Amino acid sequence: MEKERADLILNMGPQHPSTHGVLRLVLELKGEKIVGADSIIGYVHRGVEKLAENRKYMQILPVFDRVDYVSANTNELGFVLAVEKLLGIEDKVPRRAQFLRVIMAELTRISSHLIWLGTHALELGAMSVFLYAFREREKVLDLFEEIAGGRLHTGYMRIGGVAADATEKFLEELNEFLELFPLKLDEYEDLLSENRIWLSRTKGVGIIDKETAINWGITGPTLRAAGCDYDVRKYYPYCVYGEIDFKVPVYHNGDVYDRYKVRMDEMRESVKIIKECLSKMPQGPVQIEDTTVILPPKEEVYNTMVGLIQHFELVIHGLTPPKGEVYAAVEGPRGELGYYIVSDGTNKPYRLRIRPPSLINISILPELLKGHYVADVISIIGSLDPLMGEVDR
Amino acid sequence: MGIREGIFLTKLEELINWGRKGALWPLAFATACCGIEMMAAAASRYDFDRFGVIFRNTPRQCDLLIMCGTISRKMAPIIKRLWEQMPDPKWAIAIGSCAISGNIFQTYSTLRGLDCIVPVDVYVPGCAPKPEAFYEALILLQKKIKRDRPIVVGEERECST
Amino acid sequence: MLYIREELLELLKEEFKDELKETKLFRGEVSITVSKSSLLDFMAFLKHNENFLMDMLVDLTAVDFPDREPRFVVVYHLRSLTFKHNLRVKCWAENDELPSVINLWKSADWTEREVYEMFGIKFTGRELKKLLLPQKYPYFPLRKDFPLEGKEEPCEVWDWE
Repeated sequence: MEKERADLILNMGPQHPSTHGVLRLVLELKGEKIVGADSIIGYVHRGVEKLAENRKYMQILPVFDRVDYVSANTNELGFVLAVEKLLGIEDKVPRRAQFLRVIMAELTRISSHLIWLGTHALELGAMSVFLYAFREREKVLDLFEEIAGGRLHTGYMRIGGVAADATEKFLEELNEFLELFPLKLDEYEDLLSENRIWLSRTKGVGIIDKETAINWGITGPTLRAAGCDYDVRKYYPYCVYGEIDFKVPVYHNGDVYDRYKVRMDEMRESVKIIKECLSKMPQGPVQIEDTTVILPPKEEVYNTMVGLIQHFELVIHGLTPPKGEVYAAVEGPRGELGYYIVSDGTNKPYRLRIRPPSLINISILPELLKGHYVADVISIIGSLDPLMGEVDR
Repeated sequence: MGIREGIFLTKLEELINWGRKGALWPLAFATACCGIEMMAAAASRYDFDRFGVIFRNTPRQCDLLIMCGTISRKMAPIIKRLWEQMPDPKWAIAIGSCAISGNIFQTYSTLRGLDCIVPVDVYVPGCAPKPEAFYEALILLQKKIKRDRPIVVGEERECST
Repeated sequence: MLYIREELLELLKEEFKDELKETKLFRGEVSITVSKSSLLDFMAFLKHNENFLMDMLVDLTAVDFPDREPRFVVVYHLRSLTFKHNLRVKCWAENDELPSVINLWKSADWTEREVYEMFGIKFTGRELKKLLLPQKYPYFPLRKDFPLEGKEEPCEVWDWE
């Protein structure tokens, strides 16, 4: 198909209210119709992969909170699962820690989807949904602060368990939140799902069909809205997802409206997953017993010689996995987040590669935007839900 | 004293400073994680609108640059251009460790702090700082504006901000 | 994660005999190293053969071993959504060049551009442009001889393009 000649080249620059961070698009327009598009990224490139080659495994763990900054726990979980696979201690992580990991991952999914909902609706004109979504998200951040100490960058996962056990107050507030949240989701759907303006801006826009999506490597809610039921939690279960009964929402049109429906349904499923985890979670320790991998408890460090020496060795020298390479993936809110670690037997990773779902999802943009109008660009970018910190790393 | 007749006495400088500090309009600009805390500070629980702060999208209408997030070297000329597009008087707040000194990302592609390119008035440490820290920054900036001297009679002086 | 079964690995060994340089099993994962001349045939076989049907290229990356000759190895992670099995394919980049697999899987578009700009490996059969760094940036950051803090580069490199 030959390209039409463009009348105007428009730059939607890195500073723009609706490009979800610092994404830059150069659009070639004929009137209002887009005939060509190019995207330029790299405005938040921080060199995380190079940084990881110079830091020990425990030191590089907090940096991954900041790569995909709205879903900190899933990032850390992916890295921790990869290192545990490399060390060969996957089966020795205690059961209670696995359940707590799943609870935090699902709360992170809810928090990330609430940001998506707020900003997507704000860009399409529905300002009250932005304020409502952030109000619910504050409750989730209160829960994070209660259990982990940080609102946004929690630093909760450890290689061999989690940082701290859940307190009584956390469990109480979590149960209150789980009672309240589905009613709020009904409120948001009331405002948006049957709204004429919402439907006319999202139905039939930005259609990606199943074969195209798989060829372009797209994963996450975008793929599930196109008709494929690929979800890492069902295909390759990690932690205790194999024992929990939950559905994966799949729709078939592949347009912006279906991606909205997929994410709303995912939030409801997350609530069910957390309820089931709370009922099945056993009592017990939350960290592995092996002190060559995780720091010993503080009573031993301060009172016994052995504990002090183990703490010293782990902090100064760090853990050393055997030589080899692994790939481990988790289902992040944006798609499959994978970690490929090559280890040469020393205490620093030789090569660490983050497989960024957002980068591979938005690589389809230059193809997809042809034939749409300028106003559709906002809907499409919002529905693909890119996060520029993860795209650029 | 004169309020009943609709007259009140003050210095012209105090009136100008009161007007400027009560209606600071920042540029809605976020690069990385601290941007999410800025959005939370502007949303329902921590509401910024009660300070007279309205987020504007174009730099020509703003007088405050709230820099949230890591600054990469590719982004630095753009921030400089945005700063130059803002009309005087203008102020800048650097939020988070990344905007103060580069934080943990001491690599080949990050800038070591916002004050390499823009004169900063208030620094807010933290990673990411809580929205209450945003309030403190705003109130400190308001106190700084209150002591400003925009009008000087009889001396040659450059713009005070 | 599920990787290909023993029988399928034997099938590949029969089909490609000495083009398969090395096979490794570690923690349940299968990695195969192939020679550069048979890379495209191998990839096409994996995509179209009815026992494999690898329709998704999950990731494409490279690792630098400066003591070896050739220095770079490019790593492909492949997946089949029908059979749910995975495979890791590695290929040493002689002369720092490899044929591009973009005609088989479009997800190689941006991932190959990133490998080019970070390591300097060229992919033949397609146009290459840098992805994350500016077009004029003179070095390849992820090579082992490049320091973390970076090297001196002229200021014009980071300008608007």
